[in-house]
Amino acid sequence: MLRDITLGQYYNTASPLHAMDPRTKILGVIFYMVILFTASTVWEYALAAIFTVFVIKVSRVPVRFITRGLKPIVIIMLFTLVLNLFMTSGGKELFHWWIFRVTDLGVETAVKMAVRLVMLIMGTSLLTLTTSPIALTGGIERLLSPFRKIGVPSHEIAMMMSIALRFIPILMEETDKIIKAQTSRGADFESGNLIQRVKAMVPILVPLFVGAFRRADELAVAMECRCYNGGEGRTSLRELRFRRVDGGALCACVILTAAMAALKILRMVGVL
Amino acid sequence: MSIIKAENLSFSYESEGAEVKVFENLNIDIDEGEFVAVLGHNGSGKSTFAKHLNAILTPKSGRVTVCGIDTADESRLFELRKNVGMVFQNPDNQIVATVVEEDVAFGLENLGVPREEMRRRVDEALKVVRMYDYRTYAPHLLSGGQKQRVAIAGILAMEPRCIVLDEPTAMLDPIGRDEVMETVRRLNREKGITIVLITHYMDEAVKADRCIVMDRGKIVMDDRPASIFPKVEEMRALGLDVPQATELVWELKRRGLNIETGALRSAGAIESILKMTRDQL
Amino acid sequence: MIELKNITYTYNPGEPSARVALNDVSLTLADGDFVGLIGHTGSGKSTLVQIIAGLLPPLGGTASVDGTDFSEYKAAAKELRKKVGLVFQYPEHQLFEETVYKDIAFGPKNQKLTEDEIDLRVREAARRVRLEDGLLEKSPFDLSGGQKRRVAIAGVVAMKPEILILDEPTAGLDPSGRDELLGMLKELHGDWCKTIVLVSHSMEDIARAAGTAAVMNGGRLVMNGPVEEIFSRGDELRSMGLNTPQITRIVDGLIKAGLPLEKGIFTVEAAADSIEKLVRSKR
Repeated sequence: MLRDITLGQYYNTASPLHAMDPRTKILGVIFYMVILFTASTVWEYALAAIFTVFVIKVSRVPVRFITRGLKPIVIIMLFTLVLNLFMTSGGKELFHWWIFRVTDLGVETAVKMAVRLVMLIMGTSLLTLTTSPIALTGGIERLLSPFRKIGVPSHEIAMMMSIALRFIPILMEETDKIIKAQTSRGADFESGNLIQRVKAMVPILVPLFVGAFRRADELAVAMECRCYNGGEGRTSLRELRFRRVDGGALCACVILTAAMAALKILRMVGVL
Repeated sequence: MSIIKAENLSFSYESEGAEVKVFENLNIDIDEGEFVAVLGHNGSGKSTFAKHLNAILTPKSGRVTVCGIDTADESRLFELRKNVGMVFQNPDNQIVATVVEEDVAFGLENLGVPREEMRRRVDEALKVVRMYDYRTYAPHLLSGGQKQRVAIAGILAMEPRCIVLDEPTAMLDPIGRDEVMETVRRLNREKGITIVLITHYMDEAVKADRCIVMDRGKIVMDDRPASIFPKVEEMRALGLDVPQATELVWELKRRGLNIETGALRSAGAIESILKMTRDQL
Repeated sequence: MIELKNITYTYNPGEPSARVALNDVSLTLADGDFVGLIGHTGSGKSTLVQIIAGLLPPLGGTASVDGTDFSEYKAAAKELRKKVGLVFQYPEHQLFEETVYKDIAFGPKNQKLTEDEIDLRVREAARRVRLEDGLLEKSPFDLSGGQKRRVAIAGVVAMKPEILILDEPTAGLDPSGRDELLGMLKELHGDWCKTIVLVSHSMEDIARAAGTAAVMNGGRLVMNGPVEEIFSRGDELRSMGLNTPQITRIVDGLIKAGLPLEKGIFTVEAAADSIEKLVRSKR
């Protein structure tokens, strides 16, 4: 099940999107989110969709890797869909059954919400699919570094993320081993009521946590042995290069966002 | 010239209110370029000793000087750790980065080495441990032996004079063990790096220039492997093994055969046995 | 008795990262066997023991337990889990209770034994793995590495499995700890557990404890027979990147040099015996 989460999984291939500076991509995703959450008319959605499809094409990541990220949120999606469908008041009534009322406005809101969510997941998955974790953390560190003066521990945040990413596969494998070891001792994780099932998790969680703490301890010693002393005076092997293509991409994002904002303003003043 | 010097070193820790002595008045002198194996059963103090060599632990009393630096001198801690690299048992718990080459660079990044210089040293270190082709891999895709070699490369990039390995092969399979041992030996022979290897695999200790055997916090033997292992009964009494080659010739001698003892490897044992059969025909 | 026939297993089937772990493996574990399972990392031995222990459904093949054939692994798995106890390499993967006693009791409790019976089992298992009584009320996390491993083994032994499988139980132990553990397994065999499977990289350990050996290579079971027969095929083992015990290599070297010794000697004692006999007869 854990394997289905595309977030944090890097798809290694050569594409213009892969070659971009991680900072560009992170900022791009922020702009993309702004666009998605301000979009309201069909045209705006279409524009966002065209942009999404274009970026996916450029990334050269197979579509099934991108859609795989949607699987874990299907339930959340259905939930919002149903909620919006039945809870939206106003609009013309389409049909009525018992206490449920479906209106055209409800259908519209529900569909928009679902589309927005799908595009959001696909767009953000694309960031992690085209950016290696280490580049991503490097990018975040640099983007946050101006805020260091006001006390944002940018280096520490990036280091923590990097270590978390490093240990995710290890801990997943360990979890599998622990489950099997306890199953072999007759542990039953599948039957019983909710409380019994939660209780049955203890033999898994205790070894997992004890193990994680032991690892953290050993890692800290190993890091100190290699002269780790926080972010001060540190250099970096990986160079972040902000090139022309990054400038172009960022400009495109700004223009797109501006265009959306313009559409919105025009609509508000009543020109459209 | 001596590179590691422990003088009257004592260490103890507190457990449930009582003081547990790990060792007392330990004196060890290791020369630059030596390959030393430290043996002893679990709890003999060998691992605690290793932790004193780059100030993970500092002496309760006595003094440890490594590369001319007193390990208790906090102002020279980074200088000490740059010169004395440490490789631990579990390869997974000492690799920090999610890409091999980034991990090898970790120590250099901490020391603030400029990028061009760093690139050169990282590539060089990866080539020495023969992991250059894997430089862009994620560590979790590597075998135990490969991971341990990456850990060694990370140390090597810092250009240390001495590397301390604390049971580096305990979690590896035979292939991984051979890879690591071959690498360690090459570093010693070709680069003249002083090696302190904590182990309880006798076939690894046999490859060292010198073996220090510890028991309950004391040094009970300190000599060349060829002088230590033939003392089969003493080694057994210390809870240690001897290579089967050594044991065989010793056993034949014990049974009253006229055989030369002291073989450490198969070839040596075969030679002694053949010589004996020839002599007796 | 457990019979596995034509077992296959593939990790991540259908994906670019697909890897065949087991390819048409058939293996019978008869009552009274003490099997050494050999093979290097990635040879498929860990996958195989998980299938034997009823923890991993294979992609193909059948299993029979005590003569009953199961067409569905799901049904077989239930029987297998009842009969087979698997001790994983690292005790850290299973220790979780506040005290050693409670931790050992976890398995018997899951078997729904009575309080008295559980107590009996826990104490007997602890005695069998040579844990001192005083340790039973301690936290398993405060023990030494060797003690933790013994508690982990006791936790499975207390369930009195007919077949006990241990994955690399001697890894990381010092020589005296290893000798003690192997001795302990030999005592358990036959009297407490009918069958023992010892997974190990160490040929010396297998030579010392096991009666038969099974060798895995590249997902296949390539050798299966008495230990002396397996170790007499040193060249084949070496071609798979495995090795024979050093003593076997010495005897092989002596045979090559022309000494009339038997092949397949794998203990120092036996080697010394036959060399001594040879020398004394020649005199």
